[in-house]
Amino acid sequence: MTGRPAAGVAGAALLLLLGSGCISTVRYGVENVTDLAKVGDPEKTVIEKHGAPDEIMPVSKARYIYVYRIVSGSVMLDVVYGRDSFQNLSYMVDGGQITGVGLVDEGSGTRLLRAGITPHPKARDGHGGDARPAHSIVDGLGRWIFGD
Amino acid sequence: MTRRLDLLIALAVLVATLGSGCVSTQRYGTARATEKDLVDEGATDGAVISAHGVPDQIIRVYEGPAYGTEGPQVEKLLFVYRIVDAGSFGTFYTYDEFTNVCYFIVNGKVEGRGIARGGSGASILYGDRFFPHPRGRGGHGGDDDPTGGSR
Repeated sequence: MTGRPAAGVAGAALLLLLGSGCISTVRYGVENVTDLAKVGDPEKTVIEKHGAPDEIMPVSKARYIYVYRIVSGSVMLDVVYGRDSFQNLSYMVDGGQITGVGLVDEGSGTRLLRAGITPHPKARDGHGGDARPAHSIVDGLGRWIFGD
Repeated sequence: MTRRLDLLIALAVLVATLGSGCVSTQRYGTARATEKDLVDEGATDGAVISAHGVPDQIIRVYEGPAYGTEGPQVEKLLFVYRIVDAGSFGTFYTYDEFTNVCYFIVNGKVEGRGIARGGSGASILYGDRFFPHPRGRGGHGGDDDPTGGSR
């Protein structure tokens, strides 16, 4: 295949590439997840090290949790390959002092060629499961693959 | 014939480039966001406003007895300033990055403050699948779409 046919194929490939998107890489959420405040530090240390939290979760009275949420994701050719992964960083504060620190991975997903995928438990009925695993799988267009 | 084809291709590329936009750069959010712009600990919350203007968000952290059931009353607030830097070269390359300036205010005085980077993203050649911040995603810890979609 030479000349015009080759150029046509190359052009079609380019259009496909542009039409379906190419590469994106993101990481949103607090960037400092190495220099953490310590148990016993005053509450203000959390702000000094990590800035504004994404959420403050009340526990009781003067006890609450500062939460920072992080997502990393990348996509290649839109529908061909995608991945994401989650972390959260949290501080328990009691009476103005840090009483607990946690940095945990919170799951990840990959996807190849619009494969079926499964929601995080918090996005599912019943949270920890919905009794029928097949019902939790959706296709690339967001439709339930199995279900009512 | 070849020269005419070349001209047509060049014209098509030019039109595609113009149609998809050229260069843009933005930086939105308070312009005073360096370490030297920060108000010192012990200053009043009014000094924060004087230094940075109106905040983008005020988060009410806590109001009540300092130690739960006893102690003096405290009111804890966060004054938050959010900044985005972004740029694009048409749709061939785009990027964004986020920073926030945050003040910890206790009973009207600055008790702590910080400048923190809040992540960034980049894409090339229309690689613009939308990855929302975790706060914007169902269930926070994932939304069932590793390619970034949000439901």
